[in-house]
Amino acid sequence: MIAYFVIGGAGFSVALVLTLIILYLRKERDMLRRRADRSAQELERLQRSFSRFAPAELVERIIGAGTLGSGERREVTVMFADIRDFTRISERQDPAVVIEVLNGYFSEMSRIIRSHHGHVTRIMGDGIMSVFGALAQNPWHALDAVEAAVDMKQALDDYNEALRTRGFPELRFGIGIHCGTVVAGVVGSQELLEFTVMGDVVNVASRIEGLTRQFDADILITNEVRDRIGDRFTLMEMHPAHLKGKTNAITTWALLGLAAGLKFTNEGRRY
Amino acid sequence: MAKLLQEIEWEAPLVPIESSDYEAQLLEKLSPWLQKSVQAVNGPVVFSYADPKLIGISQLVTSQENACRYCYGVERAVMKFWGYSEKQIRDLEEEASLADGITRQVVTFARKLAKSNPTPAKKDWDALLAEGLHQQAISEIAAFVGDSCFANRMATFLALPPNTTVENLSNGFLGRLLVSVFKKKTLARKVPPPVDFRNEGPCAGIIEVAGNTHLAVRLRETTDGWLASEVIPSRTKVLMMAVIARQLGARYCEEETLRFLADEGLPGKDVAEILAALSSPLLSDIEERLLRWTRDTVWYEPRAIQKSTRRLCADVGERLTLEAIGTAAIANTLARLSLVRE
Repeated sequence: MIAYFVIGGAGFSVALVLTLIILYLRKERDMLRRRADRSAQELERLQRSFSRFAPAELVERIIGAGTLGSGERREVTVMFADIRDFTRISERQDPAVVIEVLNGYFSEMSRIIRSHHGHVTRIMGDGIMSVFGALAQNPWHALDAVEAAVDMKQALDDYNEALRTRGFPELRFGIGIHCGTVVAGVVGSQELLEFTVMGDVVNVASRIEGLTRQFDADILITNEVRDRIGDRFTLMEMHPAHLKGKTNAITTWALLGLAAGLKFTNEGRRY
Repeated sequence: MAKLLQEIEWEAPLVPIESSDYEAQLLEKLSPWLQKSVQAVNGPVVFSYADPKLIGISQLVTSQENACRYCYGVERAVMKFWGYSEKQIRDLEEEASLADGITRQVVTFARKLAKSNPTPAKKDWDALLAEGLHQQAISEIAAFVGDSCFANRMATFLALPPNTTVENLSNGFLGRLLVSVFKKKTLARKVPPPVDFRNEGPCAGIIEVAGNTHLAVRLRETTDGWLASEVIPSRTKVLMMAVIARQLGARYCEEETLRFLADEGLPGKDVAEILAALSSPLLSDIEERLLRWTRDTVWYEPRAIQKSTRRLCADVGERLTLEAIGTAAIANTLARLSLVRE
């Protein structure tokens, strides 16, 4: 009888301990689940925030690799667009209006660049640097950049119409386009990161944009770009020019528009 | 990370049809080869080598990767019919705590092949072999990923309304029970491998990737039917495929198109000129329009490509657009499978 109680008591104790362990493990599991859900929500929030600063493909690639990724060589087209005399214009205007006008301009230009498979890598004052072909293989990066430039010019004309009605001075920009091999990757520190491309191509594109003032042209492209765009555009050869840091003079071409008889852009729009 | 079901933005259907049986009415508008292919895709999974659940998983993540609201919803329902819980499906979608190595490797392989940016590497195939999968089973899974890419493009470019009947059925206990009882017939059917399958003709080297499977037989029939169709001239269709191959960097596929176009009387230097600028005096207005639309069928956001397809339809008409959609769908599948061969 005593043995029965002892064994029964021991059995009860074991059952009690097991129940407590199960309850504890369940509590732990629920807590882990809640943590995992919170982490997933946090990751989603970060992803959304980050995607405002970097192209979705880049965010995806970084998350996929689990790191910021190593640099890679890519053949790309780099475009610099800069508003002429914007500092002088902005000095005479209400700062709030200046920012509003600039944001409207950036918003429209970024939309066009995206629609032509490019992405804006940097905004510097009133200038935009954009790259075509950096995130995914794009055999038509030069063509995309030039078509984007044509659409940007049209969009700027439309934007100027709207500015004119508000009494804001007309904007004019210069665009320089060059292509070649760059190193693409994410650079920066924990505080500030950016996806960018590095190499001589970037410097040349920037300096070609500078030449637009000298030649009084809206859009200038290099020989390398011209070789990749077929006969779609009307071009005018400019005098060879010496660029800073370059031994030989570089020939550029002013883009006057789309060649007669052309039919469609990527968007299917007829010209 | 690829989008989840509720995050996919979707346009109204491309072809406006006032009918309770939208899909059946739409099917009638397609040319015969496309009708046959779409009907086959909608049928049960016919397999010989791979575990049907792994096939289901590869189809689920492919549809997710291609952000196809229609197929993704259906594939989620199929997984539930297989007995997967919502939590297990979310784990597959988010690649979180995947149960075993083989599932993880299949998910990785399917996603890479579906996206092809970057393209799948030999190590991805080897990783499946290391998990104990047989060559023929891997070929079959690759073929099902290709098949899903075809279905995803058809459904996305047509902006098919989500199949709420199937989705709702999978969300109810009774629906899951009913389908589970009959699932062998409705979901998948294991059959012996094809006998005397002759893979001869254009793209044979690419279709070879699908192995000696029933899907390879279907791919052969679809490819032959597509090339024989006269709605869009052969040279235009193959140029569309060349554009896709160029965009994906699929060299083998591009060479295949060059051979075909040479036989059609378009020499390599002309093709090179066309592919360099997607424009040439050698192209008609419609050809140029189709080629420029085609390049966007490789990687896309659903709403953007749906809007672009609607503009194409306004420019070239419904009949040509439906055929162009089928062309882009099969050409994307073949070009992606050619990457596995490379």
